[in-house]
Amino acid sequence: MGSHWIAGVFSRSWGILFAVLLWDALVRWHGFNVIVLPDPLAVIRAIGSEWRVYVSAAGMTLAVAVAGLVLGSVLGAALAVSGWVSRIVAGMVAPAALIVRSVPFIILIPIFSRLLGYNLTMVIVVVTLLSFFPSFVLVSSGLGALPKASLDLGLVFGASRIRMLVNIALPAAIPNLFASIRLSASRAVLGAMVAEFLTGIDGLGKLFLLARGDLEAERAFAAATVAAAAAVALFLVAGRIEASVHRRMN
Amino acid sequence: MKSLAPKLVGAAIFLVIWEAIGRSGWLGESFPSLTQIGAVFERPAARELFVRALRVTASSALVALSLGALLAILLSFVAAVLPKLEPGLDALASCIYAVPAIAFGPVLILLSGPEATPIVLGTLSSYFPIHVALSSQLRYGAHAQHELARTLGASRFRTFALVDVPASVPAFLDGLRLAAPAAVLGAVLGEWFGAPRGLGVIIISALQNVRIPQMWAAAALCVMCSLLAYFALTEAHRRAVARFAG
Repeated sequence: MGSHWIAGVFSRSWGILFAVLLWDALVRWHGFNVIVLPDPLAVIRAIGSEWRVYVSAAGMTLAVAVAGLVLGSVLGAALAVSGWVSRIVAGMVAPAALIVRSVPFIILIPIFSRLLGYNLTMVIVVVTLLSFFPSFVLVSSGLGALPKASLDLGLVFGASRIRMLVNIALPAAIPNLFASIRLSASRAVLGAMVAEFLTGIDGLGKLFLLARGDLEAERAFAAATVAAAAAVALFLVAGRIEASVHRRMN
Repeated sequence: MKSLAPKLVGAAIFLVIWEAIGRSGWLGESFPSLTQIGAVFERPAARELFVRALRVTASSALVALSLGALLAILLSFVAAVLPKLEPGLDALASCIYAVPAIAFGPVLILLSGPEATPIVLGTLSSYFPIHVALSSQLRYGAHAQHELARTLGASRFRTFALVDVPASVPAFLDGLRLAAPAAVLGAVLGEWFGAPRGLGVIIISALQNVRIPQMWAAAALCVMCSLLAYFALTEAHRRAVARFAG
């Protein structure tokens, strides 16, 4: 029983362990200066010595990331659905979505700051804009890949377009929505961190900014590592949710 | 072709709205109109500079996208054939993707040199969407056909090669569609860390000299790369759905 449990934990976490060992090996082989890259043990010590600070900062960053992730995914899905209903909307939304997605973000920050000011809303908007694109693409693709037979069946029974959307198209697109949430989860956390870093709003990004300003590499990397850990955690949670959605739908 | 007309109308409406906002000055100096951005390309010398930078960035992004696709195929196929490794591999893939570039950028430059950093960052940003799209499909898609093939006595490997892989082609193209803009952005970000040329270099130097139309002109070329890749892959995806998911 005991060893079974350990094997289970190991099968899930060896990837993370491997990544940390890789990092340690990198520092040893390359002999990096502490400023460039401290070793994982020093960073873990830095986290341990002030864990309360990191936990509360991580909580703030995660809350913002989850808010933006949910908003972005819902927005993307809504755009995909409106594109499915109207072709002109599809033509307007696809280029706009791509432009927002492929303009380097740093250019947009001054525009956001003018529109929204440097505050929490802006960080959430940044995360929303990072996560709506996968949801838009994958949900559109789920709606587009509907078996023609099921839509024909709906037509034969005289279902309106709205009814077909609610009863046939949306259920078929839900797995894609959850795949997109899993896809965006880790970048949502990192996006929130970068936005905090650029704007100086409280969270892991601000911790990183302050520590780097003081040339305290261990603390800066501690903030970055906590962000990476939070990103991976959110990704794994999203994977769990996706799996349970699939169980329920089968 | 009939689906093209509404798309063009939609895109035209979008561009008109952009021009109007740019001219009104509502979003301030940092949001120029399209004509202001276009004026940047009027000087032949500037045009030449932008074309050269575009070539560098586009080729970095293309190499990065190909490497990212290979990496994603490798990761998700291994996970599909050896399901025991799957949770760990997934965690490893997400760990690498979760590395914050703002912290580890300097490390990357030391490891790969400023010339290769755009390709490395582009690869790191593009493998993950492909991996997630592919692995979701391999895990949950084509369930009925998979069970049927297994029940009829096909080996695990044959089922994978003849059922699961063909069924995952549309998902792969979906992943590529998401990854293409990510590869461009990754390459541009990589160019900020000291690359000799590229659109990212133009953006960062325009930013430092507050030359906003130049900055947007470079960004417009990034968008153009992404748009071209996206629409080509959308067409490929449409054909793949017709071929593999009929």
